Amino acid sequence: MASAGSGDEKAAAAAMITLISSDNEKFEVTEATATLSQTIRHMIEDGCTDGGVPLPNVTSKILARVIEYCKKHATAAAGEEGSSSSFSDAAFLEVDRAFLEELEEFDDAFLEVDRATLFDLILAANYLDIKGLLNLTCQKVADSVKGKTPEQIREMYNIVNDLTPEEEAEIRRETQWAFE
Amino acid sequence: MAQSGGGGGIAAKREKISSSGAGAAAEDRLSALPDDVLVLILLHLDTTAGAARTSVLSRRWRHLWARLPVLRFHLAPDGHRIREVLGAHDLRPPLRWISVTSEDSAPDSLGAWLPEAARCLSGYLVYTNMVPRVDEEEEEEDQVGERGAVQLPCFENASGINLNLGWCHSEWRDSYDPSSVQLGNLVQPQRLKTDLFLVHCEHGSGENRCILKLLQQFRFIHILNITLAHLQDINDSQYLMGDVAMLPQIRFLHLTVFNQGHSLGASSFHPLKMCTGLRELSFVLHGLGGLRSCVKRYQAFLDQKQAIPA
Repeated sequence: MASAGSGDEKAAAAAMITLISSDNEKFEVTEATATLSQTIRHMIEDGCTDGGVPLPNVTSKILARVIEYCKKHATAAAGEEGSSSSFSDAAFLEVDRAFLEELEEFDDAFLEVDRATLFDLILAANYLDIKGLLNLTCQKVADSVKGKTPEQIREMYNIVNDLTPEEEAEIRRETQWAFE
Repeated sequence: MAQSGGGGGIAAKREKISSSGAGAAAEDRLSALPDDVLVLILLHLDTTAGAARTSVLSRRWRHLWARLPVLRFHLAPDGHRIREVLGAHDLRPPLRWISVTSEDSAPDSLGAWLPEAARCLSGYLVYTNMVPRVDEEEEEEDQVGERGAVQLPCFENASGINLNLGWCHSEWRDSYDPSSVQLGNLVQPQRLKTDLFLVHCEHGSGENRCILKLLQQFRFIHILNITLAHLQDINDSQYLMGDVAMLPQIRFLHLTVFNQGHSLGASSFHPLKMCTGLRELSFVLHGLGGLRSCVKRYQAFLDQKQAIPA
């Protein structure tokens, strides 16, 4: 990803973190972007990010996407800081509506990926502990199974039913209320 | 959400996240996700019923839904079923959120699961009674008084309880006559949201009786949401704000007003005058036709709270 770039390299450099993907690609990001990941935040707090943060679980392809997400949402977080929000009621959410809509559009577009990439993103978000991204991607999976029968879900995700017919019947009895 | 593997920090526990795209047709990547992630996916389903249905997918899925920290029952058919679900899982983490929308306003049904909820709740309870408004005559036939009573149990660990006992005043009276609901040890609720308070009414003061009674139960409420509703036609109506003679101490007040074009100064200032310890006030005004949007916004608010349980 883009290196610090512009003039005051020094000031910027202080707040830059290098992330290293499993295939050894280096990504330089601002601390604000990187700390959307709780995992990385803790590493920064512990002072062990010199020389870069190796992320052996995340490929460069996925890391690039994750960083794209974090950049967008780090800006969002910075914008929100100004407005204190001890009131979490619906009325107060309208204030930033336009901005939230833009963010939503970004998220929607971000999720337009094939299923394999989606699972990669989920694993990366879980590993890096990025709540927003994890919720977003899990929501996408949840939406895909909503209203589907168990049979349809099995087929969609190649889930092998290893329950005996007796076991399945028993579970269905226990959870009959859920099927009504 | 923490790594399910625990410990180990950055070490590559699971197999490297495979580079995507390539075939691997029959791979079940969903079931291969860590437990915590699967529970999170179940959490994003609309209801607990949807999550429970996944228990028949395979052995891997059988008990996952029982680990949900949040339970949501939409139009729950029967309070006894809810109790079974609540009671069935001793291994489950303490519940952060229980929400129940019901079309069954009978106190019996509510009473069936409330004690169990009290036992396992460490967060919020939201109960919404969706019973459609009944006409006066039908209501008479309904033999309101003979339905039995609900005793609210002591919610020792709950952070907040939100009982939306019906959209209209008649439902309050119908299903939640205060004589049939006793608030247990709920002395200082974090947040209380009342039903519509009518500013004017033809029938006199009885209309808001339940809200007033409810408010009298408390000396201190951290956050109070109250909605003042003006009727469109207020000829021959009685002004009811005078009935509010006293309010609990309130830290945050959310005041929503549907003024239907009427002047709103006096009615809105009336409760404010009594809230001397108020730290913050939110004031939302809806003009004509605002009620529908209120219902929608309320739903959106609920959804939002449910998506990110406190």
